[in-house]
Parts: sequence; C-alpha cells; structure tokens
Amino acid sequence: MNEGVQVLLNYMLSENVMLVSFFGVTLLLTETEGARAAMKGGLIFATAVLVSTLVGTLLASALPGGEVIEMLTFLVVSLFAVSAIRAGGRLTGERLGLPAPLYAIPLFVGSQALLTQANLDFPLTFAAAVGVGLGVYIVYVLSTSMFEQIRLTETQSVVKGLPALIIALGILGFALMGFQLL
Amino acid sequence: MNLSNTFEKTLILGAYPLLALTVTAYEATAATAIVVIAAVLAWLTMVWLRSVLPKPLRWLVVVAVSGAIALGGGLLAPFLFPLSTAITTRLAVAGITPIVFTGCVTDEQEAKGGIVPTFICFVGVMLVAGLVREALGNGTLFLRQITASGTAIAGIMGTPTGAFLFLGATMIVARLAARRLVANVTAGEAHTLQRGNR
Repeated sequence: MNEGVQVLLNYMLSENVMLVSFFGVTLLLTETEGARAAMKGGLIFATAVLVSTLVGTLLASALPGGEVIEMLTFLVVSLFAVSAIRAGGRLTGERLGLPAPLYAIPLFVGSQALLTQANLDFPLTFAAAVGVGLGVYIVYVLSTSMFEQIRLTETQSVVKGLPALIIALGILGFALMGFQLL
Repeated sequence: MNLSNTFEKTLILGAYPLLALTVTAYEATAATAIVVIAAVLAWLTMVWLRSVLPKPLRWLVVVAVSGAIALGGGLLAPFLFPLSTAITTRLAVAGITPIVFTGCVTDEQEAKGGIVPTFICFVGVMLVAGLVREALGNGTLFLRQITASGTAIAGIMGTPTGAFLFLGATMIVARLAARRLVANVTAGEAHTLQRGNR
C-alpha cells in the first residue's frame, strides 16, 4: 500500500482524534444536533480541523524555539479556526454554562500536536491532515446519528441519553482500532 | 442542588482527562494535579481581568494562561512521576479542557454553588478511574504487580474502549444512586406524613 494512503488511513481510523486520542470528545458529547444537520456541521468542523492541522504543523516546524513556541502557535491557530467556525454560525452560545468554543479548542490543539509529534514530511503531513479531517467527519456524523436514535428509543431512563451514547462510542472506537484485542 | 446533574456535568466537562489520562494511577494523579492547578490559576486570572479587559479578550488570556500552565506541568510531570515524555502533549491539552474554566463563568452565584462540588467529583472520579483501569487493565497498582502471575487481566480496560466503558458505567451508577436517594427521601417523607396524620 502507498505510504500516503497508509498514513491517511492510520490517522482516520486507528489514531482517530475523536475516539482514540480523545481530543474532540467533549465536542462530541455537547454538540448533539440532529443527524441531517450534522452532515453539514461535520463538514465545517472537518474542514477547519484539516486546515488548522496543516497550518499549525507547518508553522510549528518552520518556527524556531521549543515546545512553548509550538504550544503558542497551536493555540493561536486554534483560536483562528474557532473564530472562523463561529463566523459560519456554529459554536455559538453556551454549553453547560461555558462558551461553546471552549469545547472545540482541545480538538484543534490536540490534532496539531499529534501531527507535529509524528514529524512527517510535507506530503505525508498533508495525507495525515486529510485523515484527521475525515476521521472527525465520520465520527461526528455517526455520533450525532446514534444520539438521535438513542433519544427516539424507549429504554430505561438511567441508560437513556449520554450513558448509551458513551458506551456506543466506545464500541465504535474499538471498531476504528480494528478490534485490536480480539 | 441536584447532585446527579452536577456529577454528570463534571463527567462531560472533564471527559478528555478522564478518558485519555487514566490508563495508570500515576497518569491520573498527574493529570488531576495539572487540571486543578490550571483551574485555580485560570479563575484567579479571570477575577483579576474582570475589570481590566472586555469579555472576549479575557477568555483569550485565560485560555493562553491555562495552556501555558498545563504545558509547564506536562513538561515537569515526567520528572515527578514515572511517566514517559510522550505524555507531555496530552497533559498540556488537559489544561485547556472545559473543566478548567468552570470557575471562570460570569455568574458569580453559579460559580460559588457549582465549582467546589464539581472539583470534588472530578478529583474523586479521576483517581478512581486511574486505579480501576490500571488494576483491571494491567494487573498493577502504581506500577506494582497486584495479581498473581498467570492471572487473566481485562486488557480492554487499558484501551480507549475501556475508558468509554468506565465513563458510561460511572454515569449509569450515578443515575441509579440518585434515583434510589430520591426514592428513599420520598418514602421517608410519606412515612413522616402518615405518622403526623395518626
């Protein structure tokens, strides 16, 4: 298999930033729009993650300095990405009493840090960023669809809602990792 | 205040450190310390900036301060605990998760009523998660073997799936406990009323 494709699949599945590295998990648990709306919402998040990951990783490798400069670069790029998403009408208002953008920042910072740590050359960094974006899109759409289905299902109130979604996400994460323990 | 709601809110706000940084008890301890220190300093920064900067800028500064503190903590952690240096990034990200900013909410009343129970819940769940996941997933506690050689371990608890299973199970147990508490209180009140009527 081509090395680029391998890296793309790796970051989309077994290194998924939502369910395996967990950077986007708080966003998943709080953005619970319907499945149809998630098709568009997921695309916005995935594009923002792809672009910010690519920009942040390239900037971090170009700038001199250590981890402090890297972290600062990731934060600045993430804030730009979140502002762009807000300008598009997403991540507005509050979730659980906190401003909605705070839930997305770990996803952007984490994705950039993950790729910077991998220390790949440009074509592979691009493939990895596309993999990260695709992974975000797939998991976001699947998660919101599952949550919509869980809300419609008749079941015990102790399990209904988030507990069922979290366990389902765990099984989805297991599948993305290729059922590695089995 | 509804304890079940506070607990559930804590689990959601602290989902990242709870899932990503509880593979071992040492990891959980380091992450808990970083999150609590970052939260206190973020709160102090927010209080200090309240009359100095407008709201959006305040949040930018608070996020930058928390990120810097968490990065410092992440760089320091491998020297204090037996952790690999690869964990630095994950610990740094833990410092900018929503739980850190719980005390920075604008509503003072909400902050006073919610922040202490939220952090007590968070610290408790993080430490329990670290102990349970390490014991079941590795058969060790603080990296010391606790199972006899040849004992089967539940390796899945050390994986991301195990983290999700722990979080989901914790939420279910919390809801069951809250339901039982409400049922007991209602039964107690009914009993008192009955005795009063007699």
